[in-house]
Amino acid sequence: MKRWTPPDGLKLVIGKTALLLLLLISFVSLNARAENQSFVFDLAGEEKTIGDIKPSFIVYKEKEMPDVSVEYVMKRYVKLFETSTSPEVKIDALNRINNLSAKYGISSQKLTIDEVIQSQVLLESYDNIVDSGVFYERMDELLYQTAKATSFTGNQEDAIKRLKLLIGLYPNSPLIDESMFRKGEALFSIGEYAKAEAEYKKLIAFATDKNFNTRAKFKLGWSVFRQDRFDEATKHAFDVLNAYPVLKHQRSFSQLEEDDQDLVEDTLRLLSIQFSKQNGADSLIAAQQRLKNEDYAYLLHDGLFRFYLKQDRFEEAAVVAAQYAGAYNTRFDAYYMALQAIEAYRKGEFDIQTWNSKEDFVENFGVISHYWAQLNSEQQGEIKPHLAKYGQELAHLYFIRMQAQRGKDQALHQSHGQRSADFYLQLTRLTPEQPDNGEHVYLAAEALRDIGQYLDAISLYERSAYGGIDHDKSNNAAYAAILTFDEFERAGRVLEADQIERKHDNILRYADKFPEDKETPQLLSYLANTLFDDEAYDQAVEQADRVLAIAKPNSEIYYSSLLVAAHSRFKQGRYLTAEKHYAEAVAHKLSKEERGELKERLALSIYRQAEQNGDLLASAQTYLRVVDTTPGSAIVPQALFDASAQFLAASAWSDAIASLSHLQASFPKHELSEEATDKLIYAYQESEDWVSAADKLLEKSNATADQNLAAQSVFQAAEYYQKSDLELQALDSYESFTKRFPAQFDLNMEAYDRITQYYLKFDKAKHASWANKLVSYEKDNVANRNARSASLAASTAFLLAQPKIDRFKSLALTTPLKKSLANKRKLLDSAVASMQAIADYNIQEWQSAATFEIAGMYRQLANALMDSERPSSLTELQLEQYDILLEEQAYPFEEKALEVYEVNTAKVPEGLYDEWIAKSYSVLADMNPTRYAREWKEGSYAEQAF
Amino acid sequence: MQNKRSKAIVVVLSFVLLVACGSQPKKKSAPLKPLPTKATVAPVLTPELDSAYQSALNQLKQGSLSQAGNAFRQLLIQEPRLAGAHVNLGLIALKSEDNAKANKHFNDALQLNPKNTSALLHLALEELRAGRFWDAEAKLLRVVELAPNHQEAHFNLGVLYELYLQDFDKAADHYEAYVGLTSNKDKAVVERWIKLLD
Repeated sequence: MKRWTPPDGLKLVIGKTALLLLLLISFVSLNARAENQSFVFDLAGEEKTIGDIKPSFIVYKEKEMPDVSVEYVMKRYVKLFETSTSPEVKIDALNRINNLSAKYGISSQKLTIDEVIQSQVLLESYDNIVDSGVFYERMDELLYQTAKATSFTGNQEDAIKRLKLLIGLYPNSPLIDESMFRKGEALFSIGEYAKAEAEYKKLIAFATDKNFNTRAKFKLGWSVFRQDRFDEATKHAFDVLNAYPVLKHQRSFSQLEEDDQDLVEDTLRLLSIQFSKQNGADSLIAAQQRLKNEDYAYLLHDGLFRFYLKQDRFEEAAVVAAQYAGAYNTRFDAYYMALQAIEAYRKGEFDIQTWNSKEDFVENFGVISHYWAQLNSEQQGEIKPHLAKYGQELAHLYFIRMQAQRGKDQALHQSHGQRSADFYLQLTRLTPEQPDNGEHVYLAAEALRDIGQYLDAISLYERSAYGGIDHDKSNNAAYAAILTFDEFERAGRVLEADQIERKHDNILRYADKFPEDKETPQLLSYLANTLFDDEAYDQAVEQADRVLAIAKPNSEIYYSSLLVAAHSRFKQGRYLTAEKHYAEAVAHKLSKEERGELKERLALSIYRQAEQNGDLLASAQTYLRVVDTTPGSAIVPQALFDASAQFLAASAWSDAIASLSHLQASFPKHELSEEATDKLIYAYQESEDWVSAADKLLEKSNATADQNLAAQSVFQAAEYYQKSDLELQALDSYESFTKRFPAQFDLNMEAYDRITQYYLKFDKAKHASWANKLVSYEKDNVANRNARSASLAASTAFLLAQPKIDRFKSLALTTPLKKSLANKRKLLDSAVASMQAIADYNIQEWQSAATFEIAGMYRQLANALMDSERPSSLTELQLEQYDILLEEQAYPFEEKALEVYEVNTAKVPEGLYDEWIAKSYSVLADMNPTRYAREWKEGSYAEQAF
Repeated sequence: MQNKRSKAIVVVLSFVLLVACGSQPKKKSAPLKPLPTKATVAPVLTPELDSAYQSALNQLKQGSLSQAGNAFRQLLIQEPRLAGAHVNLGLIALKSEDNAKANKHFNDALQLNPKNTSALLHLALEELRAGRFWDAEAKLLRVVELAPNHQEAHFNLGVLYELYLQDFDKAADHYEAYVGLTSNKDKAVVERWIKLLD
């Protein structure tokens, strides 16, 4: 919409076309309402300026168009206009031409009428009408219209003259206010500002039409302004504004009628011009203070702002806007003015000021401002887009600045990073439900991490990753949260326990949320390793298993987690699974040392399974699996040894022997090898492989430094040989024993006895020799004598004495009796002495035996005397006497024999009884049947059934 | 009803106690006989069993050891408590020189009937032959306790005391008992032994 502007601000731009239309409208209206209506220039429907006036209240009905071209019709109207002598026809033709031109957009010079020509023609037409006297009763109107047309054509003096005439002739005309105003306007237009001022003041004093009153005030202001009386002009302008109470504290005046809007706009422009000529925004404030009126503060600032802006005075415009935003920051519209300031700086390319004003905007009107807290939701909604826009710009700006200062100015780096984070976080508060908040939080976290605020950054990363709606940076945020813990540590800080746990939680959340992500295996692997280091084996296994399920089998991550899984399960005692993991790990590409170590763990896993297995045979087989699976393991000897122990416990002798033999064959120098000998001996014993047991015993005897042990081994070996009927080996072992272990008294006695017994059967001479050795040995070690040694020695001595007894008994008494008897007595004494020596061993059985033998020898001597050779020279009588003498000689010996036998039988009441006593009873029964020949009476049948 | 009876018992007992306390000096009460741990039923020899037993015994006396053995074993299947059958089976085992088996049967018989003198005598003889004179003495004394007129037991006790335990008075006593009981032809011999002991 074109506005009416006077020259030098009051330039009267007269639209010639509009004027023609006005005239045309007036004419038509005149024809239509000539009889009952006066010619009225409707100011209410008039445009703001005279030049803008158009026929807004006339409706031209569409007429059916003839079947000819528009151009043709217009050409005919032009011809009519040019040729008609009737003013009415000319005006009508002009009217139609202009209408068709407007409707069909035809501006050809041939089809239109020049505007100046139009005005001249119209004036002439009006003059002709006036001269004709047809309208004499409405001369005031005609004067007014001609004055107006004259003014339009630029002849202000003539126009003034006509208006003076109208005012003078028709003081009561309804056009008087209008005319006075037009007069003032005409005076103003020709620079007669004082006269114009006077005319406007007169109008203000007398005008009955409010519109003219207000417009007169406006023009009064201008007139005064033109006379450089600025303060006065300001007051007049305020008076204009005061005419519109609805404008108080408004941001806009669009609620006014269109004409009033123009007037207000022009008033504001008048004020802006004044302020700009003075001190700009300061003058505005001063004016308000002087007039004690801030009702139009916004409109005034806005007007001045727009004034500057229109003149490309961007900085001054921005200052005005900023001044309002600052001075009236409790008003809602303050934000809008702040926005204007930003825009002005931007247009003026004041970059720094632009950023500063944006920052001020976010600070003063943002979500953390006092201003924001006072707004209702609708108002907040109005501001939010601007805050979002500038907040984001500022956050990014400071982020970039922070990056630029990295490694340079630390203070700036810190400051920019913090500012960036703050702005990003403000954005999130601005629209919590927005999907891009996650990204803002992420960027805030990035900024804080960059400036070393790691823990705060972590919190924000967590919030960004898991706080709500997923976004493009969710993954980055989640990952960064984890890495920032590491960065925290690299910065020389120490993670507390709860922070470590939080880091682990972050890894788990990451893995849960991004199970397919390429980083997930590595993170879980790290976590698994950490948990393992912390001895949290259950959790370590859980995470390691997750890695194994998703990582590439040949990758380093997979291998690392595989080890964690294996080690953890080993620690948990889940050895079977540990074994599987170790077996798989061994198959990876490894160094020799690493492989060796893993194999040991593999071996130990199997070994522990064997330990856990309660089934003896199954346990033993598992131990052997250690040997089969990891033959080079250091634990193999132990496994073989333990396998054999299980086999032994299960009485699986042959398997035990196999295991132990393997152990000794493969690891002869191993400490268990020696111990294995005992178990082998036991296994051989239990399987009744006495020879092998004996061989091992001899082996053991040679290996051990323990002489007692060696002695027992050799002796037992000898016994086993003997048990296996390997008499010679047994004999050799016994003999060896007597030589090697002379101090082993008890075993030596037994060895001597075994040797003696052997030779008793096969070699009498050697028997005697070894029997004597036995007796001598026992005698030499009499201090060690015990019942067993004494019994062995006594029995051996008894046997050794038998030849003496035999020699005594076999020596027959021949003539000369005296000589032979002496020899026999000598043998008797020797034999009896031997028997009496046996008694010294104090072994009851052998005492009985010796007693029996002594008695027997006495009895034999008695019998030998009776059976002795008779001298051949004796007569029968002499022979009888000789026999009697022999009986006398023999009798004492027989009595002696009886007494000695009864020595044995006398032991029975004392509770003693043995074979020699029993034999003694038999001999006594034979020697004295009356006294000793008794038979037990046997029992009878059982006659009774019960 | 139950309460009335209980009260009556209490009254009676109270009276008895009062009388006992007031009129008699205190006495040590006689120990109660222990109750049998389980009911025992004395074996009953049915005519059929008795007949079979006698038949087997006759076979034994006639020297039909194998048949007698089978018959006694059959009897034991029918009536395991026949101690006499065990004794006779022991005798058959002795004749076969299976001393261990014989001893087992004698011990089984003694288990079934601790007063079985035949079993006691046979076991005592085994002990005498083994030189376990004191054990034999106890069994023989038990025999003469159970059967004071048991000739073989007195005779064997006489020999045991004379030759082995050398308690000549006891030997004389048992020889005399034997002499008094027996009409065997060795009676005169034993009488001479008694004189020797004097």
